Amino acid sequence: MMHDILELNRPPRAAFVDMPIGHPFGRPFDPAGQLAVLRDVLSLLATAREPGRVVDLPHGWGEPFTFTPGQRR
Amino acid sequence: MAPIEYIPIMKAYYQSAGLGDYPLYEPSGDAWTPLAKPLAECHIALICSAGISCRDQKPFRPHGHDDYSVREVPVGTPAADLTINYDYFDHRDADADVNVLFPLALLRQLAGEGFLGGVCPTAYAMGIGRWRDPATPERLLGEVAEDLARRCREQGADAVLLVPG
Repeated sequence: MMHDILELNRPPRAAFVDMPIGHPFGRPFDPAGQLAVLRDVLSLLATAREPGRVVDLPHGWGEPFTFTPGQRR
Repeated sequence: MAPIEYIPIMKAYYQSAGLGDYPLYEPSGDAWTPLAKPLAECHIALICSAGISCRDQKPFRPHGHDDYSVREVPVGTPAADLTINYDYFDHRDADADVNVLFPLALLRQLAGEGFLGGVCPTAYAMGIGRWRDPATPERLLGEVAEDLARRCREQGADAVLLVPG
């Protein structure tokens, strides 16, 4: 959700999905979409070869969104 | 769509809210442990920092700060027994379907399918809130992280899924 913060923090394995804050696994009542994100995230455990690299997963919100601290969408 | 740049937004917000500089963490080195077994044999622990708690637990403060407390969430907890206490982000979708943020049921499903070896019996939820105490980063990365790592190891975790709030 926060690409620039992941780049800075450099966790051992990091997956980025272009989703609004509060939606790391996607939209509500979309179990297929949520599971697809989760499978790809967990797969990094096996496929990642070096720390600190942010992997951009092919899962997005599908429409533009913005972020204002403390404000609802 | 280019990813939103959160750091400048949060820096400006902290300044305008009188919170001082937005605290940023930069590691001095890289932590890395190769996965020791196939993913299908791994037990995964879940840790989420989105201010989630069970309804029968002490809730996190909606606008809390420097909160190092941890809520233990049993792996079989029904979604209806979970609540999001934070008021820092829009969680109306997660209120309706907690799986968008706290994928405990999804992890159980993947374990049932054999994608994972299993899910650790206890998940952990935190609601740190804003960092106002200069000691918070050191405490989080030191004693809090070490305690959580110990708890996960004691449950037989092979890896941890960290989900931010």
